[in-house]
Amino acid sequence: MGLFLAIGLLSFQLDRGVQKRDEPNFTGQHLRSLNHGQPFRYQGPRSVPGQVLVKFKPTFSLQSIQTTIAAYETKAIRKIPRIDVYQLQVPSYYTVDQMVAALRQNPNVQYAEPNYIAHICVAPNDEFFARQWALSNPGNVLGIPGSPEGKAGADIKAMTTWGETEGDAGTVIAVVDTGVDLLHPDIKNKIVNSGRDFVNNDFDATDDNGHGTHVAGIAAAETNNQQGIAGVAWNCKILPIKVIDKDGAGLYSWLIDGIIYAADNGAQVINLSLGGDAYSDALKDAVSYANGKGLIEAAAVGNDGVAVLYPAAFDDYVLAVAATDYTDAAADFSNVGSQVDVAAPGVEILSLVPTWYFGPSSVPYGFGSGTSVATPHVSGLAALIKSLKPWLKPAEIMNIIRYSADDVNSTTFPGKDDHIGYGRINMEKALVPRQVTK
Amino acid sequence: MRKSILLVVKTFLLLSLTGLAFAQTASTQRSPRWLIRPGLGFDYFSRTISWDSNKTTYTSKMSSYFVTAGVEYDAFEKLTVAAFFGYGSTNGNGLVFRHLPFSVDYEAGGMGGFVLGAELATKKLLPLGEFEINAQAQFVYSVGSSKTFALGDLGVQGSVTGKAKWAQYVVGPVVSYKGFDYFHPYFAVCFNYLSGNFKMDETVQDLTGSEDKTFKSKGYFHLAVGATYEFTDYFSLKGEGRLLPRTGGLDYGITAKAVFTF
Repeated sequence: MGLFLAIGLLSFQLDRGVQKRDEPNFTGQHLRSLNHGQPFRYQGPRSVPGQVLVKFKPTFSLQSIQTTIAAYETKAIRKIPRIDVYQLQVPSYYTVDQMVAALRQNPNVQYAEPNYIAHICVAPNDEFFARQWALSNPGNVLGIPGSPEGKAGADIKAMTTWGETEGDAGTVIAVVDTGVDLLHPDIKNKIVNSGRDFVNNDFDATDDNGHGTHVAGIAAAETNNQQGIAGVAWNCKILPIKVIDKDGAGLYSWLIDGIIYAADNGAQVINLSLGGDAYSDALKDAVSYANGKGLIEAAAVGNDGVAVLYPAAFDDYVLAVAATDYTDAAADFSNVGSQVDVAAPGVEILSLVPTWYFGPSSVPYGFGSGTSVATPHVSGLAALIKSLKPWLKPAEIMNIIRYSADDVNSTTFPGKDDHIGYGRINMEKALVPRQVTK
Repeated sequence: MRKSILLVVKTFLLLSLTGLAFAQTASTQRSPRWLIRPGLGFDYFSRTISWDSNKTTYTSKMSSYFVTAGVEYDAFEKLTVAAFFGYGSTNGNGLVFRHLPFSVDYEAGGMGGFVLGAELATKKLLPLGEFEINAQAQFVYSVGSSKTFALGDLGVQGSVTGKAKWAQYVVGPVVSYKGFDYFHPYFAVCFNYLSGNFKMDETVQDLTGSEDKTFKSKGYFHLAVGATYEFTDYFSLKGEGRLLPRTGGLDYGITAKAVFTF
C-alpha cells in the first residue's frame, strides 16, 4: 500500500508539468544499500608512509631545487604540474614528520607536508525501494529504508525548477571520486569519455568501489529516459576522474592531480564527495587553480560530527556541503564548522550503483547516506546555474547558491550557522525568476 | 481588451454624434486667432512589446498613460508645430531579466516618468473637395524615474532598482472631412513604432548585476479615427482612438486634447 501510495503521489507530481518520471524497474527485486548498510568510517593511515609534498619558492632555480632534493637524501617521484609541487620519496631512516620539519626550516621552501590520504564520506544504508524525496518531498511515509515520515517541502525544489532549465549538454561536472560505472544503463549516455584514473595511472576511470557511481547519478543521471532515477542536472555531462581506490581511500597527490585534470579538460563544475582532516597547501593550490580557471567546486564536509574536512574547508574556493534529512533537520553525522556553506539532502538518497555491485541480475540502484550524497545535489545545481548563465564567475555562482538556500533551522540557529551554513539549497530560488511586486 | 476597444469606438461615436449636432447649428463666423495655442492632453496606449532573453524572443504587454501641457504654433501657412511636456506612468509587467544573478520577473506595475514630445502637421496640403489630405509626424520620449524594490525571501537582504525609457515615432497621412464648420472628423494610417529599454540593477549582499533590456513594439502602424470639435472661438477638443494590428492580435491607444486659442 505504501508503495502504491508513493507511486500515486509521484503520478500527481507528474501532472504538475514533468512529462515523464524515472521509475526503477523493481519487478519484485529489493533495493539494497552500499557497504552492507554500515556507515562508512575510514580507519587507515593518515598519510602515505615515506612520502612528502614540497613546494619551493618561485625564485629558487631548477638546478638549486635538484641540488636541495639530493641534499636531503630524498628522491623526486614526480612534479605535480601547474602548481609546481614535488612529490618526494623519503629515505627509510627518516620519518615523514622529521623530513617535513627539516624542509620547513629551509628558507627556500614555500611549504612542505605529508602526502595525506583522503577518504570518501558516504554513510550508506540498505533496503527497499525508495523515492527521490530529495528532489520533491510530498511528506507522509516515504518509501525509503525505515519508512520514515517526511516533511512536505523538505526538498531542493527540483520539480519547479526544471521548467526554467534542464541544464546544457555542454556543461560538464567532473566527479572526482572512485570512478563511474561507464556502462551503467542510466548514465552511460551522459559520460563525456572514459575519464582519467590516477590510482592506476590510466585513462579508464571505471568504478571499482561503487561510491563514485552513486554520486555521479545524483548529479546527472540520464533523466526522462523511462528508467532509473532523475539527476539534478538533466542534460549536463559527467567527466569521471578516479582518485580513490577500491577500498575508499586515496592519496592527496591523486586528488590534487584529479582536480587539476578536471580544470584542464573542459569541466565547469567539480564534485568532491571526499576529504581528509589534514590541511594541505598543495591541495589548497589545486582548488585555487581550478577556481582561477572558472570552475565551481563543491565538497563534502564529512560524516564524523567533527570539524569540516579538506578541501571543503577551503572557504574561498569550495562550497562546503553538509547534509539534511527528509524533515529538513541537519543530519547528526554531518561535520560542523564556520566553513559550512550550505546543506543538501543526504539521508537515504537513491542513486545508481555499478551493475556488479549487488551481484548478477540485481537492480543497479541503492540508497546511500552522508555528506557525499548531499554534495552532488549542489554540484548539479551549480551546473544548472552555469548552463543558464555561463557568464557568471565561480564566486557569483557560489553566492547564488548560498543566498538562495532556505534557513530551515532558523528557529534554533537563525542566519548562517555552523551546522547547515546558509541553509538547505533551494533550486527554485536560485534559478526561477523571482517576482518583484509593489 | 475587446471591451476596451469597444469603449474607444463608443466614445468616438458619441463624440461624432455630439459634434454633428453642434456643427449644424453653430455660427460660421470666427474671430482671428493667435498663432500660438496652448493645450492640455491625455494619452494612453497598451502595446505588445518583444524582447530577447537567453537567445529566445519573448513578448509582454506594456501600457502607459501620461498627461501633458503643450503649445501649438502655426509656423507657416500650411504647417503647425507643437511641443509638449508632461508626466505619466509606464507599466512594464511581464518583463523578465535573466541576466541578473537572481533572475527577476517584473510585476510591480507602473513607474512614473517624464514625457516630452513634438509634432508636425500640415494644413490644407491637398484639398479634395470637402476632404483634405495632410501629413503628420509625432515623436514622444519618456524617461522614467528610478524605483527600488525589495528582493524578498532570500537568506540575505537584496533589492533591484528599475528605470524605463521609451520613444514612440509616428508618421503618416491624415484624411479629414471639412464639410462641417466646427466638427472635423479624420482618419489616419500611420507608421507607429515604439522602442525603449528597461534597466534593472540588482544588489544582494556582495552579489551585484545589471541588465539593460531593450524592447520594441510588435506592431508597426496604426489605424486612427478621430475628430476635432471647436466648441467656441477659444476652445476646441480633439479625440482619437487608435488600433494597432500586430501578429496575433490588436493593440490600442487613445488621445484626448484640449486646445485654447486667444
